[in-house]
Amino acid sequence: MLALARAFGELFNRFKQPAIVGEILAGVILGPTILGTLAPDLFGSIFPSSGPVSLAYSTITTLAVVLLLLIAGLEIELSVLWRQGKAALLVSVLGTFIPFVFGVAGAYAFPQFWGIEPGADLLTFALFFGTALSISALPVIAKIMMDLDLFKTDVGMLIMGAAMFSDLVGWIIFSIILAMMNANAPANAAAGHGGLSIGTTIAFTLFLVVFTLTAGRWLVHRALPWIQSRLSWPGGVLSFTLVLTLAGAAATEAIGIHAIFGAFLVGIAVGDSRYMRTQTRTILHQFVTYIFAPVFFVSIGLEANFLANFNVGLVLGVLTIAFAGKMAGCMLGAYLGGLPRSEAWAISFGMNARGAMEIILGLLALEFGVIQDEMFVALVVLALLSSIISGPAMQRFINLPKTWKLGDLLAPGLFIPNLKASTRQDAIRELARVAAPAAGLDFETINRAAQVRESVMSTSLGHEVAVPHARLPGLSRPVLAIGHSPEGIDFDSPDGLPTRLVFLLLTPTNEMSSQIQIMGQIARLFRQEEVRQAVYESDSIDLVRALVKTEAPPLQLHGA
Amino acid sequence: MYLYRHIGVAAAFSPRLPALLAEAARHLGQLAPRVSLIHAGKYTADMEARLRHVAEEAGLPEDTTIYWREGVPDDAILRVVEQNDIDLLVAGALEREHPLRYYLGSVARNLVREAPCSLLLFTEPRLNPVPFRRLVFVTDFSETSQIALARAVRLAELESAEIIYVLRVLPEYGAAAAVDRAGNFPDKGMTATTMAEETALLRDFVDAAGKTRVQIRAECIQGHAGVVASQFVQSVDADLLVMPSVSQHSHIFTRIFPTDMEWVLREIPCNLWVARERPPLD
Repeated sequence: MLALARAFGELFNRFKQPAIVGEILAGVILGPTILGTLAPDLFGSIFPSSGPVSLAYSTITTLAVVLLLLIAGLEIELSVLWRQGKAALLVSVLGTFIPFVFGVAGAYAFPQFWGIEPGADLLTFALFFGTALSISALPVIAKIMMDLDLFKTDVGMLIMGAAMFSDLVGWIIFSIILAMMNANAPANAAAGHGGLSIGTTIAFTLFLVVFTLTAGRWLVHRALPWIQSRLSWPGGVLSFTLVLTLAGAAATEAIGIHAIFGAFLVGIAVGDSRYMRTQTRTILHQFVTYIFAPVFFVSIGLEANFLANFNVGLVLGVLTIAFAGKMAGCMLGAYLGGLPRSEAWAISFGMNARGAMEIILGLLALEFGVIQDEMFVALVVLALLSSIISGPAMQRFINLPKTWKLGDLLAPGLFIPNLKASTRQDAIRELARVAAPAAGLDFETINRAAQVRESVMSTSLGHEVAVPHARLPGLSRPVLAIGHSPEGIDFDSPDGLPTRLVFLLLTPTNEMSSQIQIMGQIARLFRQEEVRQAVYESDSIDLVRALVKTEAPPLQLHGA
Repeated sequence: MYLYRHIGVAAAFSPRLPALLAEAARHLGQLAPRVSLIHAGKYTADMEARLRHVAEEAGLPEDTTIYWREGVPDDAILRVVEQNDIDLLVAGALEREHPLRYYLGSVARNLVREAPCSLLLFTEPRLNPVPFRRLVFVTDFSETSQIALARAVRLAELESAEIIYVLRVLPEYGAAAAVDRAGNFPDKGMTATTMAEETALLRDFVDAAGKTRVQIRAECIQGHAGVVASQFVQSVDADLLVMPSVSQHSHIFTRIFPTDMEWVLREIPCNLWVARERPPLD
């Protein structure tokens, strides 16, 4: 299983596709779909349905999924969400809640379409279906963000924060559903039985969540330095983390929900500590990702006959309701959060990636008899398809910030060779009048914003140069107006010199980097006295342009 | 060229008060035209005499204004800040936070979380203050951090500091991405292009702070900003950490899932300057 999974995983990586697709395909080949059809006896002897081999197989795959959830938990950092503010919270909440409602409503409206027999437990299925549609896949999303070079941008951070929220809420809801499933499951079902009532199980679950995220995190944070200083490293921390994971898994099994939830909670508690070093994380990730995860994903392919159970109508139905619910929720959240339409689309496609988390949910539901093989296959298709198309779809809607060059912004109409102003406030006003038509904004808006910024602290860079500036909504590209004051203006400069060159720089609100890029270039170029002198003497924008083009290698500005 | 309009020093009668006021007198005189004291407590002539005596011993001017407000200390101090256009609040004596206290909040930490203006916290104020030598500045490239760097540079010049380290901390999602295994495990979680772009932007950011004779060293590091900042401060033995931060009403979730600033507040590694603008610019 491991050998074939890794071989297919590597092969798919070669074609820039997620390894998970190749690994599940390896399972499809080894499972009832191909091997089971072509050589049923061989399949039966390799994967017997009972006996010690079956028990060992079940143990290994359970351990694999437990460890997979541990490392998923390690990456949860909900502070990312608080940092992103209102828009992120709205996308998180609505991007989780609305698909959940779609799932529950869809289940009640058309139970037979989803394969639910009359008289079956519709509530449990409806809750499961809602959760399956609302969950995201943080690892897949993180990878897409990195591939697209987005994770350092506001949109990337927002998607990561929102996906973390979806994962956490999704797993809490699912653990409650597991308690309900457990109560209804036959005595010989695969999962553990705590013998507790639903109410007790839910109470225990919520207690575990609160305890782990507060006192548990604090205890881990205190324990890690002690372990690192007294035990071998990184072996000591690895042992500690795995013991804690298995203890968490055992605890959640004992209260009647699946072991994976305990592992997930321990992952959050351990991953949050600053004492959890990157190297330790890397080791954990490496051995889980390359040893246990492939085995688990192969086992997915072994669960069902993917050809016999491929119901086109059901697959299309699941894809439609899943995409519609997630996209509607995220789009609404982004709209209410005031984000531009293109960003809203990018966020929606980003959040729509489901990957491994969806498959784990589906597998558990299959084991508990909440869904049938056809629905399981449809969920696996949803997980794979949404992960594959998420990256390209985001790329279509996202605009990566451009790198601006000073030369791009110089225009003859935006140069005043002889500023009349004698104060910095007047200089800003004079330049704002010139800049307004180019910016497509009214003079008052520009002037007010630049004056407010100037009142906070002088924008003088020294060397007779000042760059009053403002970040403005409604601006499509940076605008730069330049003025030369032969007499010099008092800009409260750090070197005490009067300012003779004033650059009024206007940049779009959502392009944080453009202002910094342009100011950096101005500072480097005009700190050279010969450059300034040339501009003073010629009073020509063409000369400035020529100087920008031939900008000398940047000099060290500080500590010289 | 003043950096602030009005500085307020939160003065409580504690063993550290003389040292805090000595630090205030040493560092703040050149930063603003007005320095006032704020005392959360009931006014009595005796108390005023005691406070004035300590202030004068520390080297503050005789005519320093003292604001008296009764009430819960942090609320009282914040009311004075609001009513008197104070744009830098100075406080001291930040003990390590007890876990229970952490979730409930202490006076100084609540000031950091909720004050609408910048704050300067002296963790270990001295009776004989020394100039700041090494500053660590964490940027998020916001307008607030641009202004804060310009201020930090001016302060460093006034103090004849040795160096300012400017850090850009990038998030680290490499490990998360590895779970999906759609490619090789990224060693540093980031492409070389990204790191080069961020480094170039950081250089622009530092240059845009303007002319200075203070040495500035810029570095891009991956990790959690609050954690990286604390560790970096210890590694270079810095005596002032400067971080931009928005004022926000702290709630239980931000304690449970701490923001960058909450991380720093857990174990404040050295004197802390929280940069904030009124009104917020970002």
